Amino acid sequence: MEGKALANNNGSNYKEMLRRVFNKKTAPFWLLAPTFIYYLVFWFSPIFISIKEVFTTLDGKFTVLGNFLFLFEQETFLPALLNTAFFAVASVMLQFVIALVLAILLNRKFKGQKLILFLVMIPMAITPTAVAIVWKTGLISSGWINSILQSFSVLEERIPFLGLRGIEAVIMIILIDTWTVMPSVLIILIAGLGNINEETKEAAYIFGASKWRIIKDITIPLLKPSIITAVILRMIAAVQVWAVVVMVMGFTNVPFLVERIAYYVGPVSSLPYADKLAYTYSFLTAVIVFIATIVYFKISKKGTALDRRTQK
Amino acid sequence: MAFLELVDLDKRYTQKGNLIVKHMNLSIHKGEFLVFLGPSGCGKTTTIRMISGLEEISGGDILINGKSVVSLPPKDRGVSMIFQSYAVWPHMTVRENIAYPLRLQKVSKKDIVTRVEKAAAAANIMELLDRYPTQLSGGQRQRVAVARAIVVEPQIFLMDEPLSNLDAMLRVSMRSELKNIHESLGATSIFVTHDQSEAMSLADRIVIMKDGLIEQIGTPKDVYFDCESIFVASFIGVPPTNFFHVSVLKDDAGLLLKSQDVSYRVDALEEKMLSPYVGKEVVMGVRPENLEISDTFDDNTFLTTHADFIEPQGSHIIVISKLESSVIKISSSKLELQAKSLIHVSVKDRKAMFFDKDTEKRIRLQEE
Amino acid sequence: MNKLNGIQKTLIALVLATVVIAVIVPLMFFFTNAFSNGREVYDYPKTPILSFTVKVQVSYNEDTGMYIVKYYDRNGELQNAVNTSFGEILSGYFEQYLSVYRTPEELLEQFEITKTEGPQEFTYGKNMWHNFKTFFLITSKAEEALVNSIIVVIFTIIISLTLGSMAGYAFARFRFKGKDQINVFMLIVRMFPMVGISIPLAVILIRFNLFDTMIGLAILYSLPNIALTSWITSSIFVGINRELEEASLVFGANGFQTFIKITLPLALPALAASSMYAFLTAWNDTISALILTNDHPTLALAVYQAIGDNTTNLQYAAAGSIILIIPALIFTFVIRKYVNQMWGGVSV
Ligand SMILES: Nc1ncnc2c1ncn2[C@@H]1O[C@H](COP(=O)(O)OP(=O)(O)OP(=O)(O)O)[C@@H](O)[C@H]1O
Ligand SMILES: [Mg+2]
Repeated sequence: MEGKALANNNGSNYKEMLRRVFNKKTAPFWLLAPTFIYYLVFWFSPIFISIKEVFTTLDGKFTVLGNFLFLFEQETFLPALLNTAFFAVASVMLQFVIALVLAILLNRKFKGQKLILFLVMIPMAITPTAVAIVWKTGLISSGWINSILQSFSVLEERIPFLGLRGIEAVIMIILIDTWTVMPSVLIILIAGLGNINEETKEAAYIFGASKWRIIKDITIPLLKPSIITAVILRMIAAVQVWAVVVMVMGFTNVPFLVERIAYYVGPVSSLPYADKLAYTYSFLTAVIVFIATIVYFKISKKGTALDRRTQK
Repeated sequence: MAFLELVDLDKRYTQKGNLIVKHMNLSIHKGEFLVFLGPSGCGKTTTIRMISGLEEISGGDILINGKSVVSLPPKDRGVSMIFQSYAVWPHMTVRENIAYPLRLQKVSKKDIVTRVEKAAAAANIMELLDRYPTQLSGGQRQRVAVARAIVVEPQIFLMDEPLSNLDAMLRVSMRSELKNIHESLGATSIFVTHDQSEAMSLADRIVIMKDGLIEQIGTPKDVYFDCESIFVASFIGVPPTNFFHVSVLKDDAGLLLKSQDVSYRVDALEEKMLSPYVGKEVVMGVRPENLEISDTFDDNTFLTTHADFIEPQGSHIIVISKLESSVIKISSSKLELQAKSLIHVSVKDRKAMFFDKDTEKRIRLQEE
Repeated sequence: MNKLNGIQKTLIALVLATVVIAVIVPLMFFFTNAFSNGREVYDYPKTPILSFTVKVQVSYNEDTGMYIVKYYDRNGELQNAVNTSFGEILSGYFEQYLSVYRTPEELLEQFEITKTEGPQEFTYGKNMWHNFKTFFLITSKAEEALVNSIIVVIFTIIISLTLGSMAGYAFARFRFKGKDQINVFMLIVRMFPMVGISIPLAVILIRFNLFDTMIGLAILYSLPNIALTSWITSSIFVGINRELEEASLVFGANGFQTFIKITLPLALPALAASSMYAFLTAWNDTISALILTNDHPTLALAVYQAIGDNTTNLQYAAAGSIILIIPALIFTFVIRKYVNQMWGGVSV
């Protein structure tokens, strides 16, 4: 009898303890703890290491700007920075415009709409390595792009696409990138369009808005959250472009920020200062992505419903 | 003269699909408040959308002021509409919402300001003008939709279940506001609803639809007391009309309607009407309030039964009684009536309606 | 309202057709390329249509005693192929350059006739899998790499989904201090280039003995995906009616059971979508795998290393790419429905 009571008592004590540890107040803590620990070990500490690296010289002395100055001296740095900036802005804009037009066209029901959507989505699932091959088979001088141009007798001479450099090469990479990632923008915009209440558009139509005005005055403003989401996600990815560049154009020919990182950790990783440069490049890239995102947030939120509401 | 006319209007959504609206004919007078009433899926929304120009028609014609408008977009038809979801634009302030239709019409800035304020005043939302729709309650959004609809000074005012998302109290007060606005504008209004009390209280005339067909067009009183069909009689009124399948018998005294449960002596007027049906069955419909309960049996007694259940309603009671073949409901003011007591029921003032059993239409006096 | 006039219809059809062509044409050429033999890849101009046969013209040179083999390219023109009298060389050439598998004896016996009858044409069926076989031959550890890729994908999905959905649930259901800051932090995690983390992470993984393991790689790939999953799932959890959960609690289930039986199934679209992004990160990455592994490459890395940046023998690269694409394609299209649903409810 006594033993049982004791056990019971123990049991309730135990339960009581559990309850004290796991309750509504502590629940978010327990739910977030694994992620928190994970990030502490595998994100923060590497970042810490890399920040330490960025601010120490090769022989371990503290320096604020030393590594940055060394980085700026690299002759590929400025082209890499400019190429990346141009790429990020132009590719995101191009992809957004194409995706928006397509989303609006594909949002209406017609025969073959599903099929077209399916076809357009395919490139999204293609691995960057494979994308590079798809386009490389086209860009070599006996490739299919020259074949097509020739068969439409657009030109006599074959264009050595892979020999392009500078801005032309960047534009080429923008087109390739657009081919593969436009669908991921499209998905977000189409989902956003699907969420817009049809009656809001009909109401505009009733009051005399043309199709164009409905798109401009109603659809696009209502699509804004999806647009912001899509553009941010794309921008973060665009600044980090490199795989397609390297696999199509090779290292160093058309420098980009992350292409430089890959270069210093890949082919020339044995150089004594390679790691230093890689660390500094990643640090810089992260800072640029961060600033770009913040700036975009600020610009895009200005003038949206949300923002004006909070100002009142 | 008819202001808005629907002539043999047809609608099918797919090429080979069923007709959703079948050969509809309707004329609406200027200034009239017309209500479409009918069960879900009967084609009310479809019809109103065809009138607005949101939906293509599949056949027939729509005339406004005698001119066909089927090829015109909504803005050239002089219509404006209130949607069930209100469809106020969430990214515009209330003021912008109301002004937008005017901006589309290229009204001057100054006029826009005055007209917006006038419409806002009429809809009673002056103090909400600078808010966004997400900061408004359902009822307030509804008012925005109303202001936006009236600011364009429409000739025809279309409303598709505009009150169905509001709570019961608000519904009743908005109802009368809508009616007021309608009257002060002098516009012609078409209002769609499921709710019969809404229909009754608002309408000049009610159009009762079923499966894409018009069952009856009439004043609220007509559609209640003078039903054209079994459907109308059963659809309108709570509790609904009591129906009795009776045989028309002829004897020395004239015509007698009889079934297992009831017996009804036909008067001269009714005899004229029912004489073609001698030897056949007809359906007799009597509204619950047209059945009268008395304690004693007499010549007029229609049926005798027990009051199985009694539902007190405050001012009156509903007596429910199971007959052999059906259940009847009687609305009575005999508040003292005990459940289970024997009751004798008669038809008040011969207020019975007779329907053809096959066509389900009302049997009327044939004019010679 | 949705009526369009003729011009608008034509214009829309034109735009859509252009886009579809722009998507399809590269794929068709690419596909053809993957099944081309060693001669066809150099044909010019190219056709985007698969060929299943190879036509050769064989003549016999009495002076030298050699067979002169010429090959008809896709445009029907004769190109020099090989001159030899040895069956082994013929057979080797046919296999390597024409994707035709024939024994030396077989070829010699067939060509015998040209000695008496003059030049003859022969048509052979191509072995369509030649490029794929060759890809596995020339790529060291291709099979192992395929297995590695599958393992790392599974690990990544498991880690990202468990941790991410727990965090997402916390964000959606509870109010607590610092919630906004943590949210912003998660966004920053996604912004930081994965390559940048890889180098210092290598140091840490070595310390944990996880360097050059699939777990180590999965740990890296999960970094952005935990944040992404938490963001996606929290948007979905917010949308899930809390009353459903409460109803279950009322009927006596405990919090954990409720989460497993009620909340999780409802969140399935979000989890499916998140797992797609996790899949793609792990499956597609090359650079971090390059940094974090030595002897155990993933498939993408193996393909990348085999191809490098050379521009010859692209047919093998194309074949390798097809092996790389197919699982991703299947995975994406199985889950596409959920991804579409998911984006309906998400915004920054
Ligand atoms: N866009 C459409 N395509 C095909 N069929 C439709 C479409 N819209 C409505 N229908 C069909 O037409 C019929 C009438 O629909 P309608 O919306 O007009 O009914 P309603 O009377 O307004 O019903 P409720 O009272 O439920 O709103 C229904 O059977 C419906 O399924
Ligand atoms: Mg309706």
